[in-house]
Amino acid sequence: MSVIRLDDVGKAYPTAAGPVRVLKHVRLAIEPGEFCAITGPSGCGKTTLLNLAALLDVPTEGAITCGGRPVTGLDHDELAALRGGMIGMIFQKFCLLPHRTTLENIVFGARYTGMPRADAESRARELAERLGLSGVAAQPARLLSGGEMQRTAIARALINEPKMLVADEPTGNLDAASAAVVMDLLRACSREGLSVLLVTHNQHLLHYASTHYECREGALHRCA
Amino acid sequence: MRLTDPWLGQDLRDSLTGRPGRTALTVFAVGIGILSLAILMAILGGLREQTARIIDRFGADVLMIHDVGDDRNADLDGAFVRQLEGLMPGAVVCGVRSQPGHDARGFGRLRIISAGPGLGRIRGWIPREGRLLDAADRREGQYHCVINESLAGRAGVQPGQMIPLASSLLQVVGIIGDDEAASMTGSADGAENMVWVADTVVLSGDRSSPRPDRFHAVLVRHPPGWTPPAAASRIRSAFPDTRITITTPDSLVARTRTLRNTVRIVYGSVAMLCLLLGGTTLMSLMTANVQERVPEIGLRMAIGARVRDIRNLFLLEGAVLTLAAGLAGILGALLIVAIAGNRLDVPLRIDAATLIIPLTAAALLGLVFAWFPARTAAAITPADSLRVDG
Ligand SMILES: Nc1ncnc2c1ncn2[C@@H]1O[C@H](COP(=O)(O)OP(=O)(O)OP(=O)(O)O)[C@@H](O)[C@H]1O
Ligand SMILES: [Mg+2]
Repeated sequence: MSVIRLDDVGKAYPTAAGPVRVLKHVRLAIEPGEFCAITGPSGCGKTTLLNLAALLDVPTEGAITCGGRPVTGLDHDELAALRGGMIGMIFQKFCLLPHRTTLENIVFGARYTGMPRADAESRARELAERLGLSGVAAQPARLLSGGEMQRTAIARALINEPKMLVADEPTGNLDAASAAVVMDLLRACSREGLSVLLVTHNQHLLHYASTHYECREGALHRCA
Repeated sequence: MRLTDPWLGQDLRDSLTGRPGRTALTVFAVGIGILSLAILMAILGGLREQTARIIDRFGADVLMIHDVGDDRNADLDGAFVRQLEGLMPGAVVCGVRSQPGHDARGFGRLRIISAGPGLGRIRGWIPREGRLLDAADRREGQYHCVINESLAGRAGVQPGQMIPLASSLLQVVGIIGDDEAASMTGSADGAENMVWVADTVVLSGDRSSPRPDRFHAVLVRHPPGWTPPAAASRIRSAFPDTRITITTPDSLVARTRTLRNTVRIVYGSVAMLCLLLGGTTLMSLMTANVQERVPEIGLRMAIGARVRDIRNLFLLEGAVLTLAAGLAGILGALLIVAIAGNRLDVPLRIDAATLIIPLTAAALLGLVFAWFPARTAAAITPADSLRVDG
């Protein structure tokens, strides 16, 4: 069963000049363990698509199902619960809490899932170990390098054991070496059965992906 | 939202210490409002207490009759006193003359009260030492007096010893407490000491002293079964042509009630204004916080925060800020009362209401004024907030 499935999805943003249709007739299904990369020119609607897939936004047309469950008609709180348990998000700008330590930032991923704090802490320690962050676990996040910040964000996304990781240009602020480390991590996750949905401008990273779509003028095209 | 939530403490610490200047400014602004409210409560409490003391001293079933007009003229006479006695059988009626004494010997400012033995009964005095003046003292015009404790201490006299006053020597027969004497000296001219002599005594060398049969005021303790207002209206209807004013405990209370209401309105509106200003400061600084934390709010939503989680986060922040401000304001008020309390003319009193009402106001203020920023925060959509530069 697909982790997430977009059926004929469209998205229009209301603007002063009337609704602007950013996505149209998008069909996309992400299977467990799939590593899906999306590329496309700036402004074509990649982030919009990702937000829909991550249940952060609702489509204006079509239907989305998450783990076989239709999400159309779910209210804010139900969507929040669903994305808290199913989806881990990774951002280009990391989105860490700068004054908290690396470990606290990882733990923060479980803030709203009802996981007991002690469990979250021991899981965070394991993840820090696995992602090579043990040495900086007690450092405030604002003092980390870019690569460390993104690995912290990945650990934070993984703490709830989600079914899918959604990453919007996760290497956009990283150098080639750090980017490779991050991509290796994402690939390792997908090999363990996690789905990964990645948006990138970097053509060199496409070989990590198992499927590749290109977004053009609001439509999605599968690439070989 | 459970307050025992182990995550909440860290969230709060982060938001309050993240911008210490802003937190301090908010606490200051709200604290000023709470401080003014606490001071208002202290003043009202003090006035209430003062009223109770005034009535206590005056006597709950006592009336005081003055003639209208110049207070220095003793226009009420013995005939009037006897008529009153006839009017209300069982009442204690006592004509009183009151004049400043000349303090030649450094005893402190004196007030000489000339009145019969009825005064002690009306006031309910109990002598600390010796006895009160009695009918024999009055009948025989004895040069006897009753004085208050402090005066006895300063002059170093005991009952049975003599005390010089004006050009007369008086024999002290009894001593009463300062507190009791204060009901006759009043605070108007700052007299601290009282010398009570029988109204039949004429002090030699005191030419300003009025004739023995004339009084400045008549005190009446009405018989059981009456009330002061009933007794007052009875007296007024019996002497429709006599120009008198009658003071009852009720009229005293009415006078302080006017003062209390004035304080409540004038000072109360200042306190309200301070509270409102504090509240708007809280609101604007919290709104700024919300705007700065949009990406963080987006992140929280992305990891599963519900709308009410976001709203409660900011509501709680507002409540904690205002409670801290409330405590600071109350501490400030306590400090002001402790330092300046007895240098002010206004009586101040700190009691439970002085503490609870401002604290409640603080909590309410926090909830009301944090509500709008909290609602703004909760209305943020996750997709849009994550686009904002963090
Ligand atoms: N809330 C919104 N209201 C109106 N228009 C919006 C809104 N969000 C995005 N858009 C518009 O939708 C279009 C697609 O935006 P989106 O961010 O999805 O592009 P993108 O492919 O991610 O671009 P980039 O590669 O630069 O990140 C843009 O033209 C953008 O201006
Ligand atoms: Mg984008």
